[in-house]
Amino acid sequence: MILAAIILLISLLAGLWRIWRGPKAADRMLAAQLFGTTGVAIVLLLSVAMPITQGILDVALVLALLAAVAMIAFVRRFNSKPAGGNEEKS
Amino acid sequence: MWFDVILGIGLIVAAVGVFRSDELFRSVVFFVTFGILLALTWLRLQAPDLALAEAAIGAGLTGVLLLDTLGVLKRPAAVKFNLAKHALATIVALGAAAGLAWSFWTLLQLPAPTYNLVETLAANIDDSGVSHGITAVLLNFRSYDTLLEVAVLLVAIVIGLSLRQSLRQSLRHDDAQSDGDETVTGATTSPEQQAPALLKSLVHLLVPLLLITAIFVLWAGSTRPGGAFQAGALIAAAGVLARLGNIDIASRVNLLLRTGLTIGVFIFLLVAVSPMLTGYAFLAYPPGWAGVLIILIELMLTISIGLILLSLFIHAPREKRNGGSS
Amino acid sequence: MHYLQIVFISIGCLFFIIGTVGLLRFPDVLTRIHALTKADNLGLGFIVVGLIPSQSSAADVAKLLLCWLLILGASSVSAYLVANQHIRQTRKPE
Repeated sequence: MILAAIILLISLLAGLWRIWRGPKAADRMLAAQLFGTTGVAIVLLLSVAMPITQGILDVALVLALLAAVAMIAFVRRFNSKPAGGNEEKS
Repeated sequence: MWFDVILGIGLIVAAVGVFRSDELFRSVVFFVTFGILLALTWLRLQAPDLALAEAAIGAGLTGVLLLDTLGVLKRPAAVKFNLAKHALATIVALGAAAGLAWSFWTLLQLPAPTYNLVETLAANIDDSGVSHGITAVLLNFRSYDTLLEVAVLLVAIVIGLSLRQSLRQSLRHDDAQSDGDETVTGATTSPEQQAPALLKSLVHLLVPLLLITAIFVLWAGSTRPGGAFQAGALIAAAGVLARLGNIDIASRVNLLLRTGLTIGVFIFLLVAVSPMLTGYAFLAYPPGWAGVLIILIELMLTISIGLILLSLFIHAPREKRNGGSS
Repeated sequence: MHYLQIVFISIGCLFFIIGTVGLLRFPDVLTRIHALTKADNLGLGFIVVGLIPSQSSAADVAKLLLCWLLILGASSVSAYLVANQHIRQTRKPE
């Protein structure tokens, strides 16, 4: 169980490389999606690996909800800037 | 154990990435990563309440707020490398790290404390009105701290709102063009930026779900991890999501909004002061009423915190734009 | 039941690894979106199915499924929006 969590954690950190390097803006927007999916999976695995702590499933649910909001926010943020530059005033 | 090691390394990598990125957007992404890894750390330390708060506020809402801020920042001028400043900063950082290490070392040398907070809490929790330890401490044994915390939040939003008013007055003198291009949580008006239908459907699904989860987290705070701050953050997230789907929520600073912002602190103060009228101490709940009063206070706090966090997004002062979204 | 759970969770992790490899190695943005969305969500689904027998109440199972459905819905909408935005940016002559 913990092994699976480790694998997912490494997978999360590896995905960061693409977000760092991604040449297009779309690659950066995928960050929220990567974190949301992998993060929720890790929390779900932790809820079974650490059974004495109650309420971890609620954390997973809240994380899933906030990840959904963050995913939309990341995309809409760039939708408002059609020129593509994220630090320039358009 | 290996999980914790990789988590620790990931935290450091994310923290370094925040500061060392060339682009601000990469820094924000690393900050959100740091938030999620920190939430995982709280889980490993068996603190699900903190993990809830971190996931909701630290990773989610703060990430969106930072993205918003990115949109209104002027392009920063290139910073020339100044050797003197760099050397001074390195010396100060190393000194602070050494001081921290020394204090940590002396802390380990101290004898173990003679009191046990966990036992004290377990002995008194039946009197507190709730059965979850963290809520008992936050809302009963140390409720003074919580009162001051929400008062600080209220002061923050008051400052934010007043800055917005004065900024708009000074902007009226400028001839700032409004190109219809607002940041994420402002109301976008350009025709090609109308929310796609798929987004609208998702928003219509998610907002009620967020609100229901907020009420659940609030109610669950009595017996399991949860509480007013986490529920308030979920409500703010519902508001932010609605704005992202171009639904107009809380965009006018009118009496209703102001009532919602202040009702948390107001009710809390009311409950805190009214025992003094009958001879009890400040913030002493009358016997038998503790559970009911705690729920009441938490409900009002949830409303206030949700509206405060939401207003910080919508009504925060913006530079060089034609006022906020209202 | 225990072995079946391990099998499901392992398949889930495998899909996550596949998704990340695809994210890192695919040549085009649109293909990367495919890898991330489809593989990761499938991996999450397998993990959720594998964790269902470990739960102690029906409410917990419902929470698990709700997490998965939420992430599924949000990922699909997010992938659509990202791809849409990307196509509009690269096709528009600026």
